[in-house]
Amino acid sequence: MHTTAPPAEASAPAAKPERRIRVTPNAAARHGGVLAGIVALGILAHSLLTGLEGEQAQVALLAVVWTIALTGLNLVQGLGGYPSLAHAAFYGGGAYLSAIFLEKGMPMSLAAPLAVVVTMLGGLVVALVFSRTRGQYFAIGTLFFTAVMTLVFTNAAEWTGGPLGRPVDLGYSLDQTLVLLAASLSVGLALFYAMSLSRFGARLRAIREDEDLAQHVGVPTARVKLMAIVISSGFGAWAGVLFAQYNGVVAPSQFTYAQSFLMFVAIGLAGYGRLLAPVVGSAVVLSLTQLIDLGPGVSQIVLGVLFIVVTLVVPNGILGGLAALWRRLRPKEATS
Amino acid sequence: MTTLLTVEGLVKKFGGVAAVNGVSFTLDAGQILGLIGPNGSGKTTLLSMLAGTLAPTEGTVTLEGKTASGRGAHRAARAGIARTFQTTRLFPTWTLRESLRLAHGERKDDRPFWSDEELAALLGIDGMLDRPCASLTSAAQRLSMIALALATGPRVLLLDEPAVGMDRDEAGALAEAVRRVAGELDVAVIVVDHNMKFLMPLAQTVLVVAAGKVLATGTPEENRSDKAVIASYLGGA
Amino acid sequence: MSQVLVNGVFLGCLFAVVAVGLTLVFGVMEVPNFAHAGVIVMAAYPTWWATDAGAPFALAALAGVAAGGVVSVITEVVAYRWIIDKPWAAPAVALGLMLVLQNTALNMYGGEGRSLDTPYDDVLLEFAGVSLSGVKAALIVLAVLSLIALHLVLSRTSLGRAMRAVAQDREAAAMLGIPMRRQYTLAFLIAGLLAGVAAVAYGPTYQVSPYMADEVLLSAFVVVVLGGLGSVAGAVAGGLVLGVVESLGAAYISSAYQSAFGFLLLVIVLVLRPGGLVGTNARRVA
Repeated sequence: MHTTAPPAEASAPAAKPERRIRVTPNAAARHGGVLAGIVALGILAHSLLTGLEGEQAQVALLAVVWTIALTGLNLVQGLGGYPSLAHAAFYGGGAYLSAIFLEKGMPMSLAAPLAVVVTMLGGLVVALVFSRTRGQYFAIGTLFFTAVMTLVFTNAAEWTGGPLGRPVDLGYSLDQTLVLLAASLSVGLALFYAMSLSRFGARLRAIREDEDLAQHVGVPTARVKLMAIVISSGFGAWAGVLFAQYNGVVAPSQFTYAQSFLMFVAIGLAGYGRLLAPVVGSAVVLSLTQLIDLGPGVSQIVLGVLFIVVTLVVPNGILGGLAALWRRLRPKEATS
Repeated sequence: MTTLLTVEGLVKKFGGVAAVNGVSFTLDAGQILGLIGPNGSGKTTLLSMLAGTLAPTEGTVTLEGKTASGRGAHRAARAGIARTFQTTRLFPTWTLRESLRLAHGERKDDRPFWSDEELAALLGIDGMLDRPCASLTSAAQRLSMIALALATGPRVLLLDEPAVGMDRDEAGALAEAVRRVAGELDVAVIVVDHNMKFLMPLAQTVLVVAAGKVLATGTPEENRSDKAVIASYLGGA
Repeated sequence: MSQVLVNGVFLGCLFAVVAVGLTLVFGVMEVPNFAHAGVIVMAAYPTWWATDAGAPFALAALAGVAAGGVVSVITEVVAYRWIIDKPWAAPAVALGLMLVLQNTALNMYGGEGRSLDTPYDDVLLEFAGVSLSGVKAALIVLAVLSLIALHLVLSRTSLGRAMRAVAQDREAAAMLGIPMRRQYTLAFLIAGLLAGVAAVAYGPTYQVSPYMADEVLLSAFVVVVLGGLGSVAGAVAGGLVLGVVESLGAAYISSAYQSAFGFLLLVIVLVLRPGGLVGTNARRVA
């Protein structure tokens, strides 16, 4: 930005400020560190996926798949503050469509991207309808969309195999799937990091802070929300494709609005818009629902209570709360 | 002076009730217009239509010959109409500098502007650029809201009760800042306020509205002696 | 055709009773109460448990309605009360409560569906070729009675008038000295009692399970959007419209996609009017 001198009587107002973000050495080091961390997470994910067996491997798979899907949700719900409950439908869309396209004899190199693109078109339709609506209507509308998609998955039996689901042909070998899972986790997080630093990310955050005000400073809020929803549906669909490949079977019960709730809870618990929210959120939700067996429903009760308490007490989520705590313990860092 | 903003026959109805009922006026670049009237007379509704917050039921707003009404707030902002709100609205967890950067980024014009520091100095909130907006005093927040509106590079600035909660010195400094915005950047300003000691010396023209209609226009002196105005507003307050 | 319309009226009455509870809570507190489905479940199970233990149905039903009221008020006291100033937290808290309530039911009573027996199970009304089972007729009667009762409470009592004032303008109502806390609790109490009515009337036509109210809740939300968030009269009218649309769709197109027709209606409404049919600017109760 420009200097300083308080405008003297004759000071001609300056020219436009430059829009580009100047990359200082300090910032470059930070970005490098973050990217290195993201790559390390991918490597860790891959070693967990290949190293674990049985039920633990299944949980690790779900955690990675969820992280990929939640990275997309973290744009809409996290940065933008919009409670999207459509995410399980996009996730299921990718899974089912890739299975259907494979069955039609398409090669995986066509079936997978096509499944993602078609799901994103669905996301575009959802976005066109609901991106003009505000918070409450948006939650209701996207929830209903997921419910309708569950009806389709259950009833369009000739495509989806009905309530019991359908098998998925092998498009990638298991090794390929595992590598793709780990790589997608890293690439997804890196893309999110880049987007959150870009003007797109700033616009989404502005919408979350105060949507009316954002409009009045010139942010085309409906278009920004639309883009966020479409991009997030792509993340959801790709996670679904990989899930279907690993699992070999897809069924409606895996993509119900209960899944949408849990995904929403995961982002809210971990911290809206934080880079690592998908990782922490899926770890918390999946370890509670998959790893610890407390009796029927108890883990979900615990999740519900935890979610309410976090919402009321630490509205920025676990990661936000930790960051605040860190700043308090290291006051010198805060001023830098 | 050339006419910058033309408002023709604006009407806004809420469920059959007209909050604004046929308001027309014009505004020149650099002019400061005071808008007064009793509570519920339609002042804020009028501002909201000018700023694109609300679409008018009837009538048009033209800015430099182009229709600016009914196309949404972000298009009005880009066309050069900025507003502030009666209750303070900022991006609460952001610093003012971050907020200003967003506003700058949305501009598509090449009109002159003031840098962040100049804006802050103009409004007397130097040194508050890098603190979260929610942590500022309420007067500083109201001034920050004006800074944010100015950062969009407006041709027309709409201020909805900017001096609320300010003491006499603060209001005086604000009035001086508004004069400089109008004078140096050639921005037309519409100010709604109930504080006559603030508004009357500031406004070159005053528009009195009551029940959604323009009751009188003129200089502040003319209005002060207008019996209808006194009866409807000043006397009733 | 008239059979379809009668089914539509049945569905419409069910949707209306549920939607009125949602819209009342939204009107005073601006919360999309997803937990309402959990309240219905928590009202249905005590009714089933009491009849199963041999209590007369009327008594069990009363217990169920009361349970609905109690559970709903508890959600307000332990959770919603704390987010009055944080509207953005509302969907999150509502979803959290729904998880808690549904899974509490699952934990206490198990996941399998239970059938709720009533004294009028075997009744079948027939008139001009249209038949209506006793349980469905009972739902229509209960819905109409409870909505009339609600109307009387809102229009004739000072508490009801205060609630309408709150729904119209919270700040103005607070300035008039209306005790806001009590209004919030009252709204949740009425919504909970209506959820109880829905539970004891709807349970026998379907079954009692932790997920019995999910689809009804979705349809009720569509009704709320159709009628305008916060409008009781709109909720009743919207309920009937949606009930008829869904039963027409189910009868003539595909019964598997019954609730999808409601979604279609929602999409059409939101495309034409993103703020709902009755904008929130014109919020009102009754």
